[in-house]
Amino acid sequence: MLRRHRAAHAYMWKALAIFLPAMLIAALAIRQHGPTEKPAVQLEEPATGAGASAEGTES
Amino acid sequence: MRTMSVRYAPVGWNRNKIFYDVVLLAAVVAYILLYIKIAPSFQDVTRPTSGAILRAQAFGTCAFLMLTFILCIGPLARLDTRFLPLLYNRRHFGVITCAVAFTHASTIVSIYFSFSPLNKYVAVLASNTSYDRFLGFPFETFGIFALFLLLVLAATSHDFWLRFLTPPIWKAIHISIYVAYAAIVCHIVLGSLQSKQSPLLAAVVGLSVIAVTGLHLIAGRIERQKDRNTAESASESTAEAPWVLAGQVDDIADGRGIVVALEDGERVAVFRYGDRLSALANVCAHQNGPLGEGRIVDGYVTCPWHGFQYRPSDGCSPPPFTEKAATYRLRLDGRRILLDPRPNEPGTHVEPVRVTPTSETEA
Repeated sequence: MLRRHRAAHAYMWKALAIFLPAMLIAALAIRQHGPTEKPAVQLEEPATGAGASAEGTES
Repeated sequence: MRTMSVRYAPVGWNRNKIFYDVVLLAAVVAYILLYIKIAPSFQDVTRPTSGAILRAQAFGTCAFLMLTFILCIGPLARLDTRFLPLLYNRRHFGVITCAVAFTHASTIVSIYFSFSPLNKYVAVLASNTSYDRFLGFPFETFGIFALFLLLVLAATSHDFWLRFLTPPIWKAIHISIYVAYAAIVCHIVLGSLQSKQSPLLAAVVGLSVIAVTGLHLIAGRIERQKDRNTAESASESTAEAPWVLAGQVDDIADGRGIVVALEDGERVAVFRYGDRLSALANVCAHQNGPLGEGRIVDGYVTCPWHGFQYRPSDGCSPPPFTEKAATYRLRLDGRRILLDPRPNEPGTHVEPVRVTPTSETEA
């Protein structure tokens, strides 16, 4: 490889070795967590009393 | 072995290239099918991913992994010659990567922008214009830019373009593969990694960055160290300037070469073939391959990358080919090889130095 091409490669990879990890770390560190990412929560069953009263109303 | 072509041909097929491409295509198909089959089992059951999005993810991750692998081939081949066969057909690898990336982009455009009131291709650029923010930055722009570079590189990958543009310009254009890789990393970290919590994807991107940059830095460091060592021993030299010490005759195996680094950073390949020694520039006129790491085949110095050949005595390729390498003068001082570091014009004949057998051989 020509000397100038080797030098271009070396400069480019030194720059990328700093830029790419910095970019990845920064993007992960300041990442915003949206409400849709919260784990799904199973809803509680309706209270027994409320269910009974509803049944009572229907009847 | 030789792969040079006189006339334009879309692809100079040979058995090795066909085998390489078949294996590569099989690996790509296997990856896509496996991804589509396995990925749903890792997803959140409350937010299932559609088949079209899975396909887009499969092609996108495949293109990224392929690009990572392509970029690792170069330094791996510098560190260990067993990886050289991978380098031989790397351009086909690149073209297939471009096709996979293009499929990813087409699928994404069809999924997200087909129902836009604007033209779907205009909508890709117009849907998010928050260029003043880091988070929320239109990551699609990085993907489009990287795809554009990959298309340019794929379109100019043929040897026709190498000859038409000349090797220095072609090489300068193809260095932009590194820029494409950086753009794809930005595309992923500002896109997929922001929109969904995926430790696996983050780990894959992190490992890719470590592998690609790490291998290039290590290979560069080792080569610089080698150059420094040979340049130092060359500069010990002789009292007769400008001759420098290139090495010992007995250090070079028959049909092989050694690489000598000069003080100005250029490298020279010194070859021994039978009882003769010749020196050429270490740079192949095709793609700057390291001639000194090649060997003599049918009397010609043969580049280890793609098999381009040069006559050791004048650096000319065999007819009808026209490539030429610069030659250097050599002389012997006992068993020491001395090199004149001033290059001759490419194609200049230099009489090979005759080597006498060692006393051991004679005995």
